[in-house]
Amino acid sequence: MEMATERAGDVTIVVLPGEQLDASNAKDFKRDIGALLEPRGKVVFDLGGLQFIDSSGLGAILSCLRRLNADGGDLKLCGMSKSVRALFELVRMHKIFDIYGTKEEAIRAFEE
Amino acid sequence: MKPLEAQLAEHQRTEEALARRTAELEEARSFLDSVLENLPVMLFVKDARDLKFVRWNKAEEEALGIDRTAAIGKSDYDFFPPEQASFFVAKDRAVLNGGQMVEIPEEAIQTAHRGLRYLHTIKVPVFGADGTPKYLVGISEDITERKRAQEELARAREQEVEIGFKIQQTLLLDQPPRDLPGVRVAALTIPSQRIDGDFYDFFKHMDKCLDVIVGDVMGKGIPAALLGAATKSHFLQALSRLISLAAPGTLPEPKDIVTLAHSEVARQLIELESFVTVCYARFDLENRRLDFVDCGHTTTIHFRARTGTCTLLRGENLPLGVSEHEIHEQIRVPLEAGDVLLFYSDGLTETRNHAGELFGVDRLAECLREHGRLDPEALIDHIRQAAVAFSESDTFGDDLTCVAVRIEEREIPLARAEMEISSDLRELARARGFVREVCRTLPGPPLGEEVVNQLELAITEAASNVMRHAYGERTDQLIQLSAEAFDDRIVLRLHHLGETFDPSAVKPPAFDGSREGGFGMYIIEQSVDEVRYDRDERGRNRISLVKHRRAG
Repeated sequence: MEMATERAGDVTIVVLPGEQLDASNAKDFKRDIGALLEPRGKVVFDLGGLQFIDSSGLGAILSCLRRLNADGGDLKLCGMSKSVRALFELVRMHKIFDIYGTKEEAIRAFEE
Repeated sequence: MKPLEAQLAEHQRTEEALARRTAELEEARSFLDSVLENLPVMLFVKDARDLKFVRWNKAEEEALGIDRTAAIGKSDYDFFPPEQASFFVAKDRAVLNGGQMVEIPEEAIQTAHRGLRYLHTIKVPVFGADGTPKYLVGISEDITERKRAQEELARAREQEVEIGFKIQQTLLLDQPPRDLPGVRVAALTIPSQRIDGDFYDFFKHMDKCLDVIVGDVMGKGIPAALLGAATKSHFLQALSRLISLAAPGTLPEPKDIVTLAHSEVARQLIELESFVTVCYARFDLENRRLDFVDCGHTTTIHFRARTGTCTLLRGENLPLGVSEHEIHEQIRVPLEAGDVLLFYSDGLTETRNHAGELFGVDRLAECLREHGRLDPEALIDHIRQAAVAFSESDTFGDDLTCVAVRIEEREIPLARAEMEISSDLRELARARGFVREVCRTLPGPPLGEEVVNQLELAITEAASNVMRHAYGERTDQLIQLSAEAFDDRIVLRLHHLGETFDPSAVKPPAFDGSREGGFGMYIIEQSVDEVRYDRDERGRNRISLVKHRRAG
């Protein structure tokens, strides 16, 4: 899947494509996001366009975090809709991820 | 002083007597020797001072593969492993110090040629003239074969219990139906150490009638269990044969089903000198009545919700297998919403307390009067607790089975919708669309956005589990989705023909982020109020997701 990215200093911002990240496309996402996760990478996922996420989608995002953390990098999330946020809270992943309201806040968090 | 000749003659006589005596002694010794030598039990003698062997008979040589020449003058440490030798010596000391015989029911011994053997040994002290032990005599018998046979037997018994339990779980007992509108059913089984032939079965006739069969085979063990299974399958055969002969839209009468099933099993039961008590009960949910054929089974208890009283139902028919030709009588009982019918095996009422009293029908009826207004699951749990409290034990001599059926207010859904999707993950979005549409067009006050999201999430997780696990990622299979809306709840169902899912085998999720998968089940459980896994009337696996509609 096509992933739009932008740079802000040494931070890479990835806009998650599509309105849903579920079992039907989580594998593709995991495969295609790989190239964007460099060692020691500072990455922000912009979830603004996402209307629905299920456990597979969440698992895919979790795998990105683990990959980055293993190589000295980090991942921050922003722009979650209420329903997406609800799932993160349901499985307590809001305690595992750094979650920000806006892209700018997430980038700033990397700079601090 | 005697003359020399006389002295000589006397000496001569003494010599002769001595020689005779010596010969006699020698003979006695060799006789004793040969007895000890040829005794068919293992025998050894140790010197009490140093515990070295002084005697070692033929049986000992043969049993242990150690020659007497190698044994005599040696101690246990010279040819047994140290821990065995220490054990033997410790016992020897106990015998000598105690001055008494010691019996060792079982001791392991390493033999030179036959591996590890087990002996039953008796050790006896032999005292000298001064009263102190001089020798220690040991007599042993090889019990290895007997011990093995006993172990075999124990294993066989264990296996029988295991097989019996499996027969019971797979052939004798059925899952009570759920989701049958107008009735709620719960069943309880506590298996005993030896399986009984208790069985029960449920047949649904569309959503209109529920047939409940409960039975009990005389006797115990695997034969009884197999007879139970055979009887049960004869009922199923009789039912399907009569259904195929019945006019469309009508059902064969319970009494005709029992009569046909009986005609099939009666002769076999008589030949096997066994019999089966059975109760065939049909709940007509549209006409609110019970048609009931009792063949010598325990009294069925009818709890009447309106009066809060219990009535005992008992038919006049003989158990199956008592007489070859039997016309079965049927009883009709009108039912009302809230009424409970309780079927059970005699294992329940014949449970005894420490004083030897029976639990009995009266105590059971009392329990039903007290808890009859609870959900059948809860009622049955109270009955179990009562039986356990009464017998002061949670294991029973007989299998304990119990089935409770409660008549409910018959509910008609306010709305109903169905859709079929294929087992392709790309269909998940359509499944969500189905749920969203159902929720949007629901009669009554609209559902909150959060509730709709939760239902979408639940159906996605459940359907994706079915596709990935039940159908093993095959994309060409079908999943039927249905939705029913009631005043107080919404029920989503997924029907599929994939592998049956075992929720108990699922690991709890890792909330620390250490595992990427394993959240699906948890998410489903958290998103709806009730999740049930069972089979539908077509035998497909069914997952039901129930969400309560809360006022306001």
